[in-house]
Amino acid sequence: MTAHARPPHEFDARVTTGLGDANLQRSLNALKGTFIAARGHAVTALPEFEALRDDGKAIKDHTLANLDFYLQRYEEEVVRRGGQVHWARDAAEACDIVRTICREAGARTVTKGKSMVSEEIALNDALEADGLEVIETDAGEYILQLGREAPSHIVMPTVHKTTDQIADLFQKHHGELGFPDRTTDAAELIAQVRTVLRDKYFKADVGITGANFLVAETGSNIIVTNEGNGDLTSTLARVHIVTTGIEKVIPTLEDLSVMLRLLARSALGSEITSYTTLSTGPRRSGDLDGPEAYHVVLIDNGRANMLAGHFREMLRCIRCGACMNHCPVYMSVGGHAYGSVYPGPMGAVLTPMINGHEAAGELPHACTLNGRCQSVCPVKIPLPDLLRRLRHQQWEKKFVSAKVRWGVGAWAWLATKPRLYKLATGAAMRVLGWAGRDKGAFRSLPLASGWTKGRDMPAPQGPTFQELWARRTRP
Amino acid sequence: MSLSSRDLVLGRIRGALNARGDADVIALKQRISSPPRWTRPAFDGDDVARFVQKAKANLSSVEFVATLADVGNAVNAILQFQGTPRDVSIAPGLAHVAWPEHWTVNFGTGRPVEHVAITDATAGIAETGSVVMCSEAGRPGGLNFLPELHVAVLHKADIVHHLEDIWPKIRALPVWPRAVNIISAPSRTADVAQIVVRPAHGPKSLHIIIVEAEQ
Amino acid sequence: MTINEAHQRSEQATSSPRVALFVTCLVDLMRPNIGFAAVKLLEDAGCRVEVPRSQVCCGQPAYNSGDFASTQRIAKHVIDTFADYDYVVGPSGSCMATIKTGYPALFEDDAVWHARAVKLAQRSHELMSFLRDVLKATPPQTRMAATATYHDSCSGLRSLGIKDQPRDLLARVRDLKLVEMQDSDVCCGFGGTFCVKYPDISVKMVTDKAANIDATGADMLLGGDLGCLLNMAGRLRRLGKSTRVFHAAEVLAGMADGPAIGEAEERR
Repeated sequence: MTAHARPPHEFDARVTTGLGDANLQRSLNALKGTFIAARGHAVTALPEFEALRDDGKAIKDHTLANLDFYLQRYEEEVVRRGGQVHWARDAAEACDIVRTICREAGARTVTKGKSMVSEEIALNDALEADGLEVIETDAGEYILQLGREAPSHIVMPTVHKTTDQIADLFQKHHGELGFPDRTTDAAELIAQVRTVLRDKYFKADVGITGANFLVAETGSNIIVTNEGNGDLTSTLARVHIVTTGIEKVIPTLEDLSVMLRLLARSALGSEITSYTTLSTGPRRSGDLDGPEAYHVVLIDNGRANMLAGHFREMLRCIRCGACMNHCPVYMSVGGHAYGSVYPGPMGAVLTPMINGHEAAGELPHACTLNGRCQSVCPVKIPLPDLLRRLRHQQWEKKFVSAKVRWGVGAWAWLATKPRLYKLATGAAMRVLGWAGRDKGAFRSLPLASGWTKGRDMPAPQGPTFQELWARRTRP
Repeated sequence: MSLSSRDLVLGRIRGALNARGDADVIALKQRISSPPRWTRPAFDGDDVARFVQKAKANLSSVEFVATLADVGNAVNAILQFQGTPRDVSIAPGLAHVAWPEHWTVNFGTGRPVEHVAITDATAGIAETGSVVMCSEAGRPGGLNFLPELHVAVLHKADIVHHLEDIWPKIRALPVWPRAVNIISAPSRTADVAQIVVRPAHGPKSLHIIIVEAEQ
Repeated sequence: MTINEAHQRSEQATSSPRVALFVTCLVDLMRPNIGFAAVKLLEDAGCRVEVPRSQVCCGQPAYNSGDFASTQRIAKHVIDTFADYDYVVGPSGSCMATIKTGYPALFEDDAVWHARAVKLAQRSHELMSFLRDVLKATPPQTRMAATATYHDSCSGLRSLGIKDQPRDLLARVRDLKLVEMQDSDVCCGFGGTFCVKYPDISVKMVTDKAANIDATGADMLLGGDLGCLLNMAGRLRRLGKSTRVFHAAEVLAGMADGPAIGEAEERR
């Protein structure tokens, strides 16, 4: 069977939807005044930020270069403190491991803190198929779960939702839970979430969280949150399961300190989030609360294969979302246009690495390579370079359309044949220049509808520089 | 016998990395026991003043009392002012303190409805205005997240300069705690239309009481 | 050898460095005036300017499309063509970034060509940064009565650090008032083949850009990359705006007296 890239029209259709969604456009625009502005202020306020970026990069590079060592050390520490570590080669195995833990725990209710890796492996579907009640507890993820929607941003999952849409959802789902009246007040909406979920934490048999970091030195997983739902999830359930990618490990608490300073500023523009929590193993003897069992599921799912070569750099990613916040394409089309779990620049790199080029299709191409993402990345991932390398992979796999291959090929061929180039272009520019001299620009041009659909094409001046230069220097 | 997933994943990783000699392993172990000193934000002045300034900037409230015995009256004043029921959960490790007699006190884990909880901090961080709570027998971690009003008791001498300075204090505990909660602000969310709402799931207010006396 | 050392050495050898103009294909085809403005600025700064006849394109369209094999062929042609000059200077941040950062990366597995690519990269400069940072030139003062806003093209800004150089040089132009637009460092949506592959996204981006330009009240838009300027000029025209669009070199050289980009000749 031959592999085919996902057809471009799927992407184009989602782009059209995103561009035409006035609510989405308003929300994305608002983001500039809130989180993006806050990041700018937070970075300016910390003169050491650039040095911290270098440190963060160095920490991740060192860890990745010794990933097997640190993962094993991490595993030893978890086990030493009474926890269990499970290794999953792919999404299906990761889901199976979690399902088995739930089954053995006799679980019926599962609470979940926000975890992008759980989205990546489609964990909720797997657990619900087993008849478990799965409850997302992050307010944003909870809203999306009610609406059966995917996050459109890795940090602010509901950035595409309006208050009205949320009000409708809550009226539908909370009506019989003691909130019969529709409200569009953000505080009241969140108060409903708080009330509805409070009992769930206590009822939960299993609490699942992700991890922003894993510390090898202590065997801890770290979650960085503002709501407090992650802590209630991990503290009050009988069993705590951490789902995490293998790239999250860092060596020590001193390394963690650097990463925390980078993450909160890059993600939210905060010096530090409300809650930074290190969870290490199950409750100790004598502890009055905390889970009786603690499991970590270390998920590969394509990551180990990124270690060799250039794509190792992508494994530095700490999922802050700064790249998408500063991406003019993401900010134009929104996260759902990408059609992948991870949107924006980091998603355009990760998706083909995790799900293959067939699934990623257009993502590496829908980018101007403007580099703003790289300039804000807290761990200096060269995202444009990696996207270009993915284009190279697609070029080699012949995933690029014949039209583009022919056009680029023809130009490249001409580019090493100066005489022919001059002959071909000189005549064309004369004709175009002559045709455009009255208006100075064309409203439409054959073969250039992509350009002239939304903008005029300025006319060339006429003779090429090379021709004019030859005249000037001719003796 | 088929390869375990553990061996398979570790094998994939090793296949992509340079081979490591004995000396390299020693160096890696050394790096864990004495990690590099990374960049730390520079700031001058008194750590306690900085702590108070940062905590307030993060919308926590801060007050000073002379001794641990004064915490009860300080909290009582707030409850009186707010008209909050005198049903208070207190970390069992603070049971030895004399609490106001007319309070109904729960020295246990948190309950679904908690108006006020009082817990004690292992440290405070001047850099960020955060309190650091370590779970242990007398310190159930859930109490930090369940109440409407969370009162964190912090001894002045436990305020450290940088985030990094809390790690030696925690490493010195008899066992590494199940939960280390670095708490820097009341609970909040902006998941509805980017409007900041307090609280989300955790406390609406964080009140930090700094005890001046040595322990 | 650092750039400064190279510069000093060439200054010692002869007082006027031998500079090859990398015209760039867009300037060659669409707006030769920018090329002549570049020549004038370089000659005014004391350079001997030559235009190697066998130059065509830096290969960026192939490079950014992922066709690395073709890009390598083009890069070898460029490296050969420009091997013997003290400096290679072009009026485009993105073309010069391709030469300066792209070429060495392309040959990371080929020691011989990598060395040659690095050598070329070290001698290659974008025009504005060459004038201000390498030559430390102060171009003869020109006059342009206008209020202008400057768009930072992405490759120049982020790959080559070009931000203050054009502004410093433009500050010397008499009667030219520079006003900053909101998000001057955000991509205009050109992106080479991107603008025709994803026209809807591209037009959205350039519409945002046009709004930021318009909000300054400037009557002139300046920049350092013709691709971006064509894109913005095209959108401004389509929106019926009268903003005049020039390459900064044209204004600096006093050669912005003709029609602006996309303007009819009658205007002259």
